[in-house]
Amino acid sequence: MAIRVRRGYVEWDLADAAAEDLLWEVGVRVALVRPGVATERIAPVVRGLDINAVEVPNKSKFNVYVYREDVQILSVGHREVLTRDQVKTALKMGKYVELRLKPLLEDLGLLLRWLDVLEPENTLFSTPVRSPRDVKSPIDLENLLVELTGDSSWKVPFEKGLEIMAELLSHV
Amino acid sequence: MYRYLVIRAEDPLECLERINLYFVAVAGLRFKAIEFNIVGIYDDIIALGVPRDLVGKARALVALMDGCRTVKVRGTVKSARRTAMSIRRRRPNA
Repeated sequence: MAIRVRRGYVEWDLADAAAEDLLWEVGVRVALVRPGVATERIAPVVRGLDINAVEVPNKSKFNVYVYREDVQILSVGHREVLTRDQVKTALKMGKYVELRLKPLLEDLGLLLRWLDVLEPENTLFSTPVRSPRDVKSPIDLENLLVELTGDSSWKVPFEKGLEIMAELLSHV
Repeated sequence: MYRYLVIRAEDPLECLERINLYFVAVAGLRFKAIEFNIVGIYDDIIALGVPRDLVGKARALVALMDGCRTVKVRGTVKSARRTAMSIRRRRPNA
C-alpha cells in the first residue's frame, strides 16, 4: 500500500491555546498565533514576528498596505467587502488576504458577496479561535465553501495551508 | 450506503436540534426518502448517519452550526460507535 501523507491544516488566527487539543483533533498542525500565546502540540508561528501580517482598518487603507514591501498578509475586517480590483492587486503583489470566517457564518449573504470577489489562490481563512466553542473542522468549512459556490477550487486555501505557511516563512 | 459523521459539540443537544432543523437543506428534494439517522449521543459526541453522496453537504451544514465540528467519518455503525466511545469527554459534573 502506498504511503499517504496527511498534511494537516493551519489555523490562521489562534488567540488562546485552551482549544489546542480540539484543534489537533480536527487536523490542525500549525497555527499563526497572536503574540504571547504558547502552544504545546501545535507548531506556533507568531503574527508580526515570524510572519508580517497587518490588520487593515478599512477599505481605503488596503490600497496603501497592499503596496508595502514588508507586508505578507493583509488581514481584513469582514464588514467591508473589498472590490475585485483590490483583490487582483493583492494577487499581483503576491500578498495574501486573510478573512475571518467565524462572524461570516452568521451572515451567509455577506459571505457570498465575499466569495464573489475573493480569489482562492491568495485567500486565507481564519476562524479565529478564542475558546473551544470556536473550533471548526477545516474539512467542514471547505465543504461549506464548495457547496455555497459550486466551485471546488475553494478547497485550495485549506489544502495548501501548510505550503503557504512555508512559503511565507521563507520570505521573512 | 451510509457514512457516519462523528461530531463533537460543546452542547450536543442544542447542536443536534439545530442540525435536525436544517437537515432538509442537506437532503434536498429527497427529504421524504432520507431519514434523520442518529446512531447515538455519547457525552459530547454525536454519531450521525448520512447517505454517502450527501457527506459533503452534511459537513457544510455542521460548519454553519456554532460550537460543533465533525471530527471523524466512519464507514459502519459499529466503528462509528467505537470511535465515539473512545473519544468522548465525560462531563465533570455528570
